[in-house]
Amino acid sequence: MLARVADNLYWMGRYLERSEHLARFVKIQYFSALDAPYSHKEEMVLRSLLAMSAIEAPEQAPEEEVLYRICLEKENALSLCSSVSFARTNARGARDMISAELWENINKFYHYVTSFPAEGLKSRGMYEFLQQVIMQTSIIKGSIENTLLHDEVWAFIKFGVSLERAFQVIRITQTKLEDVARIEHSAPNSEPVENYQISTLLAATEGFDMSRRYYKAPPSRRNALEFLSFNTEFPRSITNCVLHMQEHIQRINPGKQTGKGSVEFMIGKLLSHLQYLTIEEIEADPSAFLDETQETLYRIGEQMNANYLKY
Amino acid sequence: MERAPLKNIFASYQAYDACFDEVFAEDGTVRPHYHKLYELFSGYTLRDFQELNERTKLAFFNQGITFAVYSDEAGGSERIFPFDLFPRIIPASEWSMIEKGIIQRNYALNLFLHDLYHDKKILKDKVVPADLVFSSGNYNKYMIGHNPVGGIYNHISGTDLIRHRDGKYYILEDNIRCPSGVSYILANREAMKSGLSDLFQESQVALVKPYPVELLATIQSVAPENVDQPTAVVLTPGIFNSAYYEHSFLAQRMGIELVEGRDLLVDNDFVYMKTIYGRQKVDIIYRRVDDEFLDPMVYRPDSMLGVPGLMTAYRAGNVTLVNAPGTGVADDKAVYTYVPQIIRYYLGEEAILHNVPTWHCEKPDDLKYVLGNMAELVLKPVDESGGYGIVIGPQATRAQLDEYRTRILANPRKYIAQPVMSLSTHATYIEDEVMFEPRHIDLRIFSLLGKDRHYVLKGGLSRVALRRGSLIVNSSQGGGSKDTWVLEK
Repeated sequence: MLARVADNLYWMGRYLERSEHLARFVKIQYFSALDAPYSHKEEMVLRSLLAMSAIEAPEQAPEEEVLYRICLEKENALSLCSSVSFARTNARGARDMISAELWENINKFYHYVTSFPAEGLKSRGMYEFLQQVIMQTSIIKGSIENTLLHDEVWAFIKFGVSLERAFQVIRITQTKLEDVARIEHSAPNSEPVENYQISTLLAATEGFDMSRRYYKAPPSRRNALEFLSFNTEFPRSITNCVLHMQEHIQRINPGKQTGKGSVEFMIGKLLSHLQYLTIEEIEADPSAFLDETQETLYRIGEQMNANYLKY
Repeated sequence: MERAPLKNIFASYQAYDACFDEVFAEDGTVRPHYHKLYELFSGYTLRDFQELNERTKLAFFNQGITFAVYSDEAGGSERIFPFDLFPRIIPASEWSMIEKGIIQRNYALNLFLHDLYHDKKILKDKVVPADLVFSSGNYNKYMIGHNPVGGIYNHISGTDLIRHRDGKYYILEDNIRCPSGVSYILANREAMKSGLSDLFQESQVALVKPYPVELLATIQSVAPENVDQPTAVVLTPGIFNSAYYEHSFLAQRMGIELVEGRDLLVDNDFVYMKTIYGRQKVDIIYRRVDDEFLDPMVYRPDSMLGVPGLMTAYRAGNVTLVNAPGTGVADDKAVYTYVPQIIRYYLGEEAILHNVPTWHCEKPDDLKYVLGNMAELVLKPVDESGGYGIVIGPQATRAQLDEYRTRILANPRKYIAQPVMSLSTHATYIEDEVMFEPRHIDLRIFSLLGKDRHYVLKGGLSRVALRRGSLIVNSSQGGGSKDTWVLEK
């Protein structure tokens, strides 16, 4: 396979995953805050949406504008709309490698998002829009699973999906931890608010129901952190993402070069680290753990680029 | 109104004057080869047809069978190539003549190209004027003396034909550089089959599906010698090219890689593509990049689409380019007028398909005819391109014609004249009018020439000028297309 095509497939996976997480985060964060038990909600929600999406907006920008920038602004490379456009551009570059069904689903998704009317986004269309984005990414992922050969084409897409998902889970967790810290700072000992924020964190990673089932207890900061970092069976935990990255890279590289400095080596090392790390070791300063993991994932991405995707 | 059968809509159908209508004869009756189709259409209601039309458009849009619009990044400006659900039908007898004529033309043009880049006999024998060839700017000096594998230059041709008011087909243009449009033929057929499946059960329509298989066999037939399992690729300018859909479609259907210039490199006169496991040698390149962008080391130095060193590798015989560079010298407008002579010279045959008749003013008899009929003719200088210096007799003033007469007499060698040709019309569903109206159409036929093999796709792209009265069928200017049925008997 051409290195450029592999690059297209990998980034197609990453942008699809990014779109899905951004949409879910905005949906959960915005709509659940409407009846949340604390004050200055609107300001806090907007700050947290901007932090998660890394999009900038002027201080005191009206809510409509912030939501527009995050969801629909074509000129902003970090918006949901751009993310979907990039996914489609990359799919086009690898058009002859993927199934007609997968391509058509991505193409329809692109047309849906790019032609969505900006007027009335906040007042009328936003919930439906975000819900559609989540649903269509889910359909597209179904096409990836069910209509492609599970060969290296598939593995490059899936590697991109897994890596991006790990980044997104880290980013969402960081953002919510900051929210919690800010609330504690302004109103110490506000346990209900902390619980509320932790529930939002789990919902934004689609982990609320499963963590409840796993712990058989209401969500807590500690459990949520452990669940999203180390649970090997939950598909949106960091460790599970790295496990899948390992599986996909082995399909891409059947030669199994696992020497020092290779992508395979770096993934193996990170995985071992995660598998033997415990919640007790990170709960005092989860942010440091998340930063460090994110840094390692960046280096894996760079190595991936150098070994397989450079052209 | 909505439940009115379509047949009634044809009642108001008014064919253009002085044009050949493909569906209706001059007395208003339906031509025999359209009978079955006409009967079937009569069973549809207008609403059925409208719904079908909308569904088909949506299917094209979702599949990304869209055209042009370079500001894609701004989004939203993608357009489908308009497609008409009333197919054009070509009876078997007409087709067999067209097919023979195309094959004859391809072989003659190929011999012509070989001659131009070797002994130049046809120029020495003064059958084609030498300055016509060398002044065209399409004569490629890097091709002089080079022997392409199998002696083939024009592997893929897209020949444009029209039907004049006399009911005869005429060749309008030979496209033997990088002709495009074949994917629309296949896509149109798919759309017709899913949209109007019962039509097919009633008719014996030739398949268009074999094209990608034939194309692969053709390009593999001209692999460099001593290559056991040749690797072929399609070279595209990239996703922003207006024909990218076609490039990816053909690569996918042939099961070969679709590459861009940046995916290739030349080392020691061999071409390689950059894969995830390192380099892989490439033997055949079906290139959809124009000559001048192929290799920045010999052609345009600013080309980002090509591969540095590609022409050296080509001349060393280590890679085959399809079509060969330099074919443009044989499909330009001036050379076109000599194709009947070219066919006679190399094959000793008369051309089966007519050229648009051309009078060369350098010949005394022709000159006499031209000067006597200027008001009915199109007058052109041979060495100007882009429509420069053309006078259309019926639209010109007395003074303009007199002035042109002086110019012709001063330098008769410089001028040619042709009759004003009319394109045939075909009943076409017009969305805005919600009825069928006549529209002008042409026909592009795709054909292949390989080592010891040839193939003509039984079908074609019938392009439709969707604006009333317009003769311009180009997709960039409001043209659409029709599925084209070649009947098996």
